[in-house]
Amino acid sequence: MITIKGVSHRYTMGKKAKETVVPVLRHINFHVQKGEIVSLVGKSGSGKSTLLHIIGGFIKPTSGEVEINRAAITAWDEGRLADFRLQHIGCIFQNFQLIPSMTAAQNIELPLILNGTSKQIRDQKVADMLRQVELEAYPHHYPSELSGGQQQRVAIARALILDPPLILADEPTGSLDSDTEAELLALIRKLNKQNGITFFLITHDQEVAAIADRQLEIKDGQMLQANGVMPV
Amino acid sequence: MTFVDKWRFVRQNMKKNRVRVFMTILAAAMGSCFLIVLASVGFGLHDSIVKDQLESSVITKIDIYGKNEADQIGFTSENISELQEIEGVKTVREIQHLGETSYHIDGYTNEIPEAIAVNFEKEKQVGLELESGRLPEAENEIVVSKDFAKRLAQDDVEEKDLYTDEGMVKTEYQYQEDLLNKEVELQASATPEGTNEPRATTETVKIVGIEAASANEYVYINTVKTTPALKRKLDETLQMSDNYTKQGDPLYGQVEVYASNAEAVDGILSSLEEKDYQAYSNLEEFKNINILFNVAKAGLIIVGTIAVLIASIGIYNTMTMAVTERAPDIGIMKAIGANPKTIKQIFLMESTFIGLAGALIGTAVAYLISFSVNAGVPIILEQIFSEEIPETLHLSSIPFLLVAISVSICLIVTILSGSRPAKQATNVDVLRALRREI
Repeated sequence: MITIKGVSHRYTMGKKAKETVVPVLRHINFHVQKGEIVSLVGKSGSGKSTLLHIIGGFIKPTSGEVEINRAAITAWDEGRLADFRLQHIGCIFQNFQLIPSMTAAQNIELPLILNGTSKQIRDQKVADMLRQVELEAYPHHYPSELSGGQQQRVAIARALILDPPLILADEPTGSLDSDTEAELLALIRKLNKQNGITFFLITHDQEVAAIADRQLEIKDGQMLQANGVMPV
Repeated sequence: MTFVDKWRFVRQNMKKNRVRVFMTILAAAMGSCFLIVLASVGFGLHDSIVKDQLESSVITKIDIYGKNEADQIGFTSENISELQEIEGVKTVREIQHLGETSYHIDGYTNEIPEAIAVNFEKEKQVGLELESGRLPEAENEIVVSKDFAKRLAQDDVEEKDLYTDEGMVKTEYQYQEDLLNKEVELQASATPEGTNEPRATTETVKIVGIEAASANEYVYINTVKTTPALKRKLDETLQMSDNYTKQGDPLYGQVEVYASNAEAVDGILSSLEEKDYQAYSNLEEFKNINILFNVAKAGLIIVGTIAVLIASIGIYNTMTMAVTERAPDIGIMKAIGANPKTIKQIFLMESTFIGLAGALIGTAVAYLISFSVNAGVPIILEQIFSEEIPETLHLSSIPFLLVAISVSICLIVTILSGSRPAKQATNVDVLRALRREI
C-alpha cells in the first residue's frame, strides 16, 4: 500500500545570505502492506509528521520516491495529488480540522461533494456513516457543540466516507482524554478488521502505537531498525 | 464538484459576510450606473440628432441635379426609366413645379406655397402620410400641407399688420376653418419663353387631403401637391411648351432617387456618376455625424469604466479578505482532496456574482435615472428658458447595446479583480492553514 524508497527531506531556513539547511529525514525506506495498521513513533522533532505529510502529498521530499497503491506520486502536481488524495487517502488530524461553520453531517458530506456525488446518494451515505461512528443523534450539531471525542469521530467519518483504502492519522488521540482515546482506538481496530482499511498512524503515545500490527520508530530523521538500533 | 454545490458554497460564504458583500455590490452597482448614465447622454443626443436628421433629410434620398451631357432643361421619361433600373433603387420621384401660383378662399390668400405635380403612387412609397382626407384622383384635386392654412392670410389687412416679427401670419388673420373638401381658387401665372407677355389663368381646385404635420415642429412646410394632369392643363392654358419635349412628353424639373436602404446609397451614387448624373446624398453628412457621436460615446464609456475600475478595488479587497478569513477552511478542503481549480472556481463565482449583481442593479437604477432625466429636465429647461423643448430631444437613452457593454465591462473588471484573490486561494499552503498560521 505504501512504499517509501530512499526519502530524504531538508528545510532551508533564513535569508539567502545566512541560509541554514536543516535535514529532517535521511534516506527513509519502508513498506506498509494492504490492511495493516502501522504506527510510527518518535519524539517531537524526530521527523514523523514531515514523513506523514510527504506520504499525504502535502510536501514533496527533497529526494526519494513515494508510492501509494503502486502510484508514484512524488512528481505529481498539486491538482493531481488532490484528486488522488480524495479517492485514495483519508486524513485524520490531531486537532480534528473540521470546518466550524458546517454541521457534523455537512463536514462528513464534504468529500462526497468534492467527488461530485448526487445529493440523494450523499444523504444516504452520510446517514450510514453517522450510524457507523455512533453520531446519528448529532447530524445538525456544529463542531463547537460536540465533545472532543465526537469531533474526532466526525473527522474519522469524513476520512472514511469515500471508502479510501488508506487512512493517515496524525496524533489521532492527541486531543482526547484516556476514555475517549480507548473508544477511538477500538473504532480504528473495528474499521480495520471489518473494511480492511490500511491505517498509518503517527504518535508519540505508546498505548496508541500498541494497537498497530507493526511499529516503526524514527529518531533524528532516521528510521530505527527492528531492534531499535540506528542504521549505519 | 457540481455547479450547484459550488453555488451553495458561494452562498454560504456570502451569508457569513452579508454587509461586506452588500457594500461591494453597492459599489459595483454605482460604478455600473455611472457608466450607463454618462454614456446614455451620448446615446440620447445621438438618437435625437439622428432622428432630427432622418426627419429633415431622408438618408436614403439622393437628389439629382442634372445630366452633364443633356442639352434639355429637366429630366425626360427615359431618364426616369434609366434611374429606376439602377440596382438598389426603390423609387424615383419625379416632380414638376407649377411655377408661380397663389390660392384664394373666402377672402384669404396663400401666396407663397411650393406647388408641385407628382405621381401620388410614388409619394406613398416615399412616405407621404395624410392627416385627413384622401389622395387626389381627379384632375382638379390637390393635397395641401398641414401648415398651408397658417399661410392663408386675410386679404383686407395691410401687410405691415399681417405678419409677426418672425414673418409668420398672425393667428388672428389666419384662416381658421377646416380646409378639407373646400374648393379654392388657384391662380397661376407665367411668362412663356420668347415672349415678354406674362400670362395668367385661374382654376378651381378641391382640397381632398391634408398632409400629416412634420415631426419637427420648427419646420414650416407650405406645399401644394397636385396631379400631372392639372399641371398639363395649366401649361396648355399658359402656353408653357418648354415644359415638354417635342414629342409632348413632360420634362421634370426635379428628380429624387430613393435607395432601398442606406447601404445601397454608395452603390447608386457610383452608378449615377458612371451615367453622368450630378447627384448629392445626405448620407456623407450623416456618416460624419455618426462618427463624431460614436467617438463621443466611446469616450463617455471609457470615463464611465473608470468608475467601474474604482469599484473593482472594493471587489478585490472583499475577495482578498474572504480568502484570508477562509484560509483555514481552504486548507481543510485541500487536505481532504479539493482540487485547486475547484477552489479557484468557487472564488471566481463569488466575484462574478458580485459583479453581475452590481451590474444588474446599476442598470435598473440607470434606467430610472434616465427616465427621470428625460421627464424632468425638459420641464426645468422650459421653466428657465421659457421655450418649448422639442419632443424629439432625448437627453438620455439606454439602448440594449449600452446595457450589454456595461454588463460586459463590469463582468470583465470584476472577474479580473477577483482572479488574483482566487489564485491566492489556490496557493494557500495546506499545512500552514491547518496550523492556523495564515
